[in-house]
Amino acid sequence: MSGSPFAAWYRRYYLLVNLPVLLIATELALSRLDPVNRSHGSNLDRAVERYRASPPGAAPVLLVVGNSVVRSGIDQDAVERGLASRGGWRVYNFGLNTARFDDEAWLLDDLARRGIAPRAILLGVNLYSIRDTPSDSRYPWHPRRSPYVFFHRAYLWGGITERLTQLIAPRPARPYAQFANAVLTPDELDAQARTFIGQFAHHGAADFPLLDQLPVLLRRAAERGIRVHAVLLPMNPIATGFAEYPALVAAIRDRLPAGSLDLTADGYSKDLFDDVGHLDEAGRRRLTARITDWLAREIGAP
Amino acid sequence: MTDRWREIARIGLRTLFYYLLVLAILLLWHSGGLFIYENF
Repeated sequence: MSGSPFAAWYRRYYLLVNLPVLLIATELALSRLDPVNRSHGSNLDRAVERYRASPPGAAPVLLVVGNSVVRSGIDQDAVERGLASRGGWRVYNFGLNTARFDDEAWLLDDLARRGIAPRAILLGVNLYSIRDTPSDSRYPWHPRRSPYVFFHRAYLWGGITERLTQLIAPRPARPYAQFANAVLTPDELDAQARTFIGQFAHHGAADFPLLDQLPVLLRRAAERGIRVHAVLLPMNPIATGFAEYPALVAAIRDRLPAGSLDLTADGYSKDLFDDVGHLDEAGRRRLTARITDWLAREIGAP
Repeated sequence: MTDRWREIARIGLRTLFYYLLVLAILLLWHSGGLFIYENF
């Protein structure tokens, strides 16, 4: 390097110059290329694809709304068959991974913008609906106000670890399947149950401000003339044995419309679950049948 | 290797190290550990 005053200054402060330049270049490149939204469709994209592939025409539309437990735990085609004699409802599953009550309220707005106008929704809820952790950053109602790497960090980190895992121990790719759940080892299941209990045990309803988003969601639905049928979903008994679980469930139940279906004490054994919340195939059949029977009575004759 | 190239390499490697460090901090900042990457 030359001996100019600038070179001497740069030699001393090069990190102050280089790092911002690199970080700004990273931000510009990533926000332009948008690899996160480009590489995989979100759950919402998949749900909209299913809707567009088989549009309802003039039939009344029932949307199944909730988090990933709803996505993989309620078979929309079976519900549709069960409601065939109740006015020819078309049923679409919009269960979205990681969705919380506020996401579900925004979802209704987003669907209205897409021209999807349900007459009713079946809302599936469990304790994950009030857990205050960020949901999928790809959902379009999350405005990005932070650097790309930070905003999409959960997804980017997941992608990096997935690729590294593939390098070390390649596994066959799993094509998208609505009803597929993560496959956990017994140790991973134990760890997930402990994490879940740690997030909810020794906490009261006041510790979960997302509970206040449930009335917002119900009001938003009412404003659009959408009838809400709500179901409290069962959870794996290995994770619900803590003292505060009934009180937290009651806090949700108290905010749901009268006559909602509570399946939290319906005797779902741990064999019916893939993890803490997601049901396996037998669990999905049982839950779907139970909900369909109840829904058919709720909706009544056309 | 001349002193000049050695210094350029030193600056480049240190810059790369701290750049990756900042990226790692951004990526690993508390994110809730959600299962959102999986293909489903």
